[in-house]
Amino acid sequence: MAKKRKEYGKSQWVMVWYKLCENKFALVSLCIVVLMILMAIFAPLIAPYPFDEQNYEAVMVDPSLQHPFGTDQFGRDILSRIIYGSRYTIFIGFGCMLCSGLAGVTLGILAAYYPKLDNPIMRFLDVFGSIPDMPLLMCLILIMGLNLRNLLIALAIYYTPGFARITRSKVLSLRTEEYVEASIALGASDRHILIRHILPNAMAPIIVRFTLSTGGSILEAAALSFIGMGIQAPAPEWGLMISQGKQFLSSYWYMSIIPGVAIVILTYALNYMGDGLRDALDPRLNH
Amino acid sequence: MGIAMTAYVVKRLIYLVLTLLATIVLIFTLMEFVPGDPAQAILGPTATEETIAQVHEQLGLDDPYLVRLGDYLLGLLRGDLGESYKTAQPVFTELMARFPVTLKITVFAVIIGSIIGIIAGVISAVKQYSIFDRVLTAISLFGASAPSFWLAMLLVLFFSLKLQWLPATGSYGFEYWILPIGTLGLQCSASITRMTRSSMLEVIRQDYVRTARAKGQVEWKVIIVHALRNALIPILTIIGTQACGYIGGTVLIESVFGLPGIGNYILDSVNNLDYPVVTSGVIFICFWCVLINFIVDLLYAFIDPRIKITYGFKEKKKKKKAPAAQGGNA
Amino acid sequence: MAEKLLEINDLEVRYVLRSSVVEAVNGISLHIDKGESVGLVGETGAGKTTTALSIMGLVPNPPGKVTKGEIFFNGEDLLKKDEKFMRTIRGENISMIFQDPMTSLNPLMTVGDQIKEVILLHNKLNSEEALKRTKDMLELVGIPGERYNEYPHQFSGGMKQRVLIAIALACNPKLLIADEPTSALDVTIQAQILELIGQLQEKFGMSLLLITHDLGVVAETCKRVMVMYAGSIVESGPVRTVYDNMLHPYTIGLFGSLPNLDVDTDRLEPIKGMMPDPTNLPKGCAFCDRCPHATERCKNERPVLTEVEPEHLVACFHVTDKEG
Repeated sequence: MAKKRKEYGKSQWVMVWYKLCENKFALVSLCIVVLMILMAIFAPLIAPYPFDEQNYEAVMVDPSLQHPFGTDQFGRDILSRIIYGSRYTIFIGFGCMLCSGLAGVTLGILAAYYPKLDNPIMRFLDVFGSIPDMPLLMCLILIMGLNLRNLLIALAIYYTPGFARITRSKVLSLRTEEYVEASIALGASDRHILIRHILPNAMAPIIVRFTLSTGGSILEAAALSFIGMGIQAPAPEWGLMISQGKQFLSSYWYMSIIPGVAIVILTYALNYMGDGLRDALDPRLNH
Repeated sequence: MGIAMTAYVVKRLIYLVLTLLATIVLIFTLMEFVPGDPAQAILGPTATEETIAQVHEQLGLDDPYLVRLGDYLLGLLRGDLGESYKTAQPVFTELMARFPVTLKITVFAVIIGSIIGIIAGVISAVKQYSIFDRVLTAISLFGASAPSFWLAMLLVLFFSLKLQWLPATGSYGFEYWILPIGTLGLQCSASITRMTRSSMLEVIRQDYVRTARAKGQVEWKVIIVHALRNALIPILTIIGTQACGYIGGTVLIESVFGLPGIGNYILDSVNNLDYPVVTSGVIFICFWCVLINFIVDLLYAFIDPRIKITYGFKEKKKKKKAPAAQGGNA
Repeated sequence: MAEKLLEINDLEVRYVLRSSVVEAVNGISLHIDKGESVGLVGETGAGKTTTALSIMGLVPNPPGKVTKGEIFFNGEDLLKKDEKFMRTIRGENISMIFQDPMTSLNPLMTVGDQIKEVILLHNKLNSEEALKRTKDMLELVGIPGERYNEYPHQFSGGMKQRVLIAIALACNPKLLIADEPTSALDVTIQAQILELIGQLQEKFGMSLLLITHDLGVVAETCKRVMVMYAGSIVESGPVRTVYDNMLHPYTIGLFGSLPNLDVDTDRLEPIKGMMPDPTNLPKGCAFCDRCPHATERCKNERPVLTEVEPEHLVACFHVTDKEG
């Protein structure tokens, strides 16, 4: 309580940051995510070998000092491939969330603010939302063609309805809040209210969803690559690596299991952060 | 069944049909944009322009979009989902031959996942911050963060290859189903545990739960009768979502375990450019999902009496309620 | 002297949070006689509800914990009893009505079932007898018996509170704890509910502990009043005596912040300042920061409840020193 008093006058986000700091595992998760991003950026500097360097002298060797995670059937270093592979995963995960977040929030605001647009937009998104993930993504990729950009667009389309829905419902409920009505009564413009009052307060659930969906989109991208509908060989994408290792599962499991561990670490960290953020942002848990 | 319930069911049914129709139109339209000529795909690279034109004529590919859409919808009404380019078999027959595999995996995975998930989630919420809760939260977050196909391979590696307890691929008997169903069941239970826990945590702090305790009710009944029932709506939602996801997403599990389900079938058709199968297969999946959502909607109404009034019977209920509310003011 | 139904000695309740301990109830003692109605008054956060919940054995644990004291009900110390025994107390011997009727009823059960639940728990009745009793209870609180099958959302706030009263009284409890039963209701309905509680209390001959922040409500309904501040009782006595001769500065302050039609005042006098932080109570009198008469002694020493006139107790050095 004494500490709380010091925090008076600071914004909600500062408070959330304090609370997140209290949650040590959430901080660790944040560090993992940041490290993964750094790994993706500086992959050529960190990776011991180029991701596509084949070495037929050392095919499927067990982990050793030279090859901490072993090598694949072409003698490529698995560790290096995982380090390079983080570029795809991170790019798809965050890129897709940025696109779908922007599109979803915009559509949500439009639907909430213009009753005429509300039904068309939301019903259209409902229809998209009623198609399960895999079939929808497969169809979209089939139409657009297989490449990184199209994979990202397909995933962004899949995640847009979710963002639109929470934005719309949050904006609608915020518009009846008394401080917003007070602002309207004072003659503030729609835009002013939207930017000053509604968006800042609607951010919390959107950010939580953003974090949790990033993990989800990474899993979806890996799944698509796994069934051959995503990133194509010889790229070192994690889902693809798992798929390539599938046939060697009985003799040499490092090839398929280790890239999966990388996926799990990243998505676990993202999901844990999302949970932590949600708890930190939940006013009911303020005690 | 009361009149409100009937109205609710009818309204949901209409909604079901409309959603299905919209989904069908959407998918049909999307498939219009698939690049490449189906005739070319059927005939292969050696086809002459003449034969291509012939196939176009045969399949009605040159008709306007609306005509083809109309034909397709009429076909659906008769249960005709088109014919596979590759095998010339009716898509419906092919799908139904493979559907039991997918259905079996989905149904059992969701049942197992719901039972484990709800029990674990309730205990976790009741014993919040206990060791049990922490361990369970960590495990369920792991389950929700791991790709299902990877988890499946991990289980295969452990139970089939190392311990040699269970077969890794195929579908020849009971024991072949344990790993695929087990994998999805575990993953399903992870999401349901998470949802049950958070929903229960919200509910057990409610005043009516305290009222139930103040009546002298036994704690487990307070939790089950008063708390869990109120926490059930979001749990049902996630169960429905999971079921839809598995109907459409068993392709991952099917490809790990070599099971001949509809997921694998559609994937093969995508690779073979067998468009009628892709279109109708996806629509087939959507049909089941819309149906699942309908059932979930009905269950909502059984659980929560307020739902059928809010969504089922707006105008008349208000009128009926008005005198009651007047007389109701104490 | 009348027989004591409930006696609380030196009760202390703490809420242990992650970084601090809330001192919610700090060694309060009180008693309620058979058939008596007692009011417990204080502002939000004074520890009234926590006191009531400790009587019921329902202090949320964690984080709450009764750390000290005794609660005698019919001569038995409830704090030493196990859950099984407490379940026979709750609803059957001691009942409680909660503050917010809107959220205190299970939205998914018909009101009839919710009343029937408590009846079946504590009586050996078959379903039909229980149904009849349920309908009787509904009629008793002024709701037509045929509304048995309706859900809480079909009732107004005042009606819901009536249903809660029916639940509380369904098993003829010896003590009824009403925790701010009217503060969530419209003023006109408040009076009806209070009247109903009063009538039923007389009819059943039960004791009543009425928790409220409204001094008027206490004057109307209770024989005796206790004023609570920051987890302690600062003044207690028969309603008449206390109202005629307020002694504790806090009680005086409470009355000063009420509008009075008889006296022509320009403005109400609010009590200055705020309740002390319950995780960090002052060493001395909890009220000293807001008290116009506070001295050095008030800051360092905690005053105890002392009888200043028959049955009228006050915890304030200024009063007790003067009298003494």
